[in-house]
Amino acid sequence: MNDFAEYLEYVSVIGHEPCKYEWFYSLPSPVRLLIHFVGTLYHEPGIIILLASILCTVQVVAGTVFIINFIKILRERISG
Amino acid sequence: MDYNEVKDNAKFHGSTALEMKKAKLYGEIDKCLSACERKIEVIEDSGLSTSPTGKAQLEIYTDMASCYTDLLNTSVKNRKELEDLEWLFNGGKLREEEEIQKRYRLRKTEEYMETQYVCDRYNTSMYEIDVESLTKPLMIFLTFFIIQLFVMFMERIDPGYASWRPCEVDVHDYALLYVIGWPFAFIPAYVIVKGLEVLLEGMAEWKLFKKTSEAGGKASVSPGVIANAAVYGIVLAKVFKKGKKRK
Repeated sequence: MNDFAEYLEYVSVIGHEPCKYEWFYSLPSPVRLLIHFVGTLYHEPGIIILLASILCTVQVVAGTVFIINFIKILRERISG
Repeated sequence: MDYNEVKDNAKFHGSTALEMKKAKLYGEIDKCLSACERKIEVIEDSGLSTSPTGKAQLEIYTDMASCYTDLLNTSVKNRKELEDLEWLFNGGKLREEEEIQKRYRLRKTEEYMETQYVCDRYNTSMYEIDVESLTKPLMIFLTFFIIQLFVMFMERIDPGYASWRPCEVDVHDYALLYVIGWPFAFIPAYVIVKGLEVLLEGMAEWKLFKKTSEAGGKASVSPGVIANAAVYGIVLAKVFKKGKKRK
């Protein structure tokens, strides 16, 4: 958690520079983007960033739902 | 032997002949009744009585058995009544032939239904997938993913514009693109997902058609669906071909 808080701080200060945390790159890109939006929103609140955070959350949720449903269907098909 | 004796003798022989004929007829009716009862037992034991065909067959045999039981319960006193009974029984036999015909038709129907069942099962297994549970989230995801792809594309043609790694992207630009760009990105996402849906539907319809014709049945296949899928498939193949050539 400390790592994450530090990251949020880092985003707000450094912003455009490449991220120094390796774990960040192992995340799927929409999740990375969401963290990035939320991190920015935390330090620089703005309507555009807020809307983008909401849209990005929708994207991440949709992607997760898709993967879950896909696995469900696949399991059903395999089990017959 | 006087006249009365001759008359009694004839009466005696007549009645014996009548009794014998009656016994023979009753025996035949009884045989038919037991055959029906056996068939009823077989249907009930096999558990087919719940299927529509089994139900119909069970009804026929129960009806026939009750007819034979009625015939057996008919008390015959004279030749006229015996002839009537024989006529009824033969009528019953004739009806049995009709029933055999009916059963034959039923068996054919059953076979057809089995074929349909196979096809329906196959069909539903294709459509059993709640397509909407996949397409809706995919469409939403793809809409925003297209924005990300756009950013990646811009980065490729104009290095420094953005990066695939969101950490390097100007977050405000990205946010603006997300807010403004999604209605535009939704159009290609919709086209892609709907196209995939049409393709899947067409493939399922085509497979159903093939499976049904192999099984000798008839399927209500809509050629429009297959045609749409074929057109989309051709377009998709061409796009992929072009993409491969570019690479």
